[in-house]
Parts: sequence; C-alpha cells; structure tokens
Amino acid sequence: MKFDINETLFQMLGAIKQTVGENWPEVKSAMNDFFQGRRTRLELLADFRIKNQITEVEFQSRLVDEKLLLNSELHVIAIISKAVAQKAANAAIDILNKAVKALIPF
Amino acid sequence: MKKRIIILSMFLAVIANSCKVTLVPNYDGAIATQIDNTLKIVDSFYLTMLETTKNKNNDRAYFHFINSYINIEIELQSLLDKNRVRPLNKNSIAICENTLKQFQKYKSQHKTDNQISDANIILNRMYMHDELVRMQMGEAFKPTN
Repeated sequence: MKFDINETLFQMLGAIKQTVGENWPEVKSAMNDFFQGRRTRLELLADFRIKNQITEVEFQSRLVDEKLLLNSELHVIAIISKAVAQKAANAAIDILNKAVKALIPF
Repeated sequence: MKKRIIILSMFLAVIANSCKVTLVPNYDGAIATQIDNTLKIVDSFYLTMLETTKNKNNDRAYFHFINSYINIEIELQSLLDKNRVRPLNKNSIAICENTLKQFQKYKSQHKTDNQISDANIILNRMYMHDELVRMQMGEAFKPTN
C-alpha cells in the first residue's frame, strides 16, 4: 500500500475547513451578542446623560468602562478562535495518524 | 529498504499519536459554576441597593454596603487566582483582571462620594453583569476533552 501524501493533505485540509465552518455560528452568535449589548448600553448611557441623570464626568468614565468591556470581548473572540483552531488542528492530525497507521504492516 | 519504511512508518505513527495541539485550557465546570454564582451575587447586590434604598437619610452611605463589597471582591479575586494557575489561559486572566478592576473602580467611587444615584447603580450593575457574562462565555467556549 502506498502512502498518498497529496490525498492525506487534501483530507487534512478538508477536516480543518469543516471544523472551522461548523463553529462559525458560535462565533457569529457571540459577535451578535456583543453588538446588541453595546447598543443597549450606549442607548441607556445617552438617555441618562440627556436627562442629566449622570454628569459629564460620569459619562466620560462610562466610556472608559466601555473600552474595558470591549477589551474583554476581544479576549472572548481570541478564546473562541483558539478553541476552533485547536479542534481543527487535532482533526487534521487524526487524519494523518489514521493514514500512517493504515500503512503499518503489523 | 523495506525495513527503513517500516521504521519510518512506526516513527510517524508515534509522532502522530503523541501529538495533540493545545492552545487553550480545557473547560472547568467548577470555575463556570463560580462565575455563575458571582454573577447572581453581583446582580442581587445592585438590584437590592436600587430597590430597597434611597440616597436620602444616608441609606446609601458606603458603610451600609462594606460587607457585600468585600464578599464580591473576594469572589472576583478568587476567580482571577484560579485562572492564573491554569496554563495557556492569558485571555481568561485578562477578562478576570478587567472585571476586578471595574468593580474596584465602582467601589472606590461609592466610597469617595458616600452616595450613589439610581442611574449609576443601574449602569454599574449592567457593566459588571456584562463583564461576568464575557467571563462565562470565555469559559464555555473552551474544549471539553
């Protein structure tokens, strides 16, 4: 039996594509959640400022909070990306493992 | 030649078998539960403050809330410490640091002003809630095996 490197690489690439594709709805859902949350917070913040329920200093301080929260959201996206990349890489390695194992005569 | 192919195949098999890519730590159910509990404590703290107190008569003076502030800060610090000892976990550590920093800022502001408006309670609760939900999401997306 011959080890077909092109076929194995093709299958590995397929596994990576499939894994990333399967996880896109999770990434999209998180991004939508962040977007909706930001909209709700900024609307409320603007409303409180317009009605003078918070001062200008407090308003500016909230914008700093918003920046900190955005930073946390970028870290969540990084975790999702790493988890997807890890799953994809391991799926590809499994394919290589199976292809090599099939060639071992014992 | 055949012997060489067999040795190479065995070598590749061993490499492929032992090779597992790890970029993030595995999901930790105990930490996820602690985040969930902290989220409830924070929500309860701000909602109780909003619904049961007013600034008049010094009802919202800082000293009335010291114990709750301490308990929440202990929980947030504990979450940060638990995440710090997990390898490959810099993103969750950053989220925990942001959350703790935000809470300490709100606590310090309340302590300085010795009062707090309804609007600021609502906003504090909303930002703390959203930070903790981000922390929860960060844990939930980690692999389970």
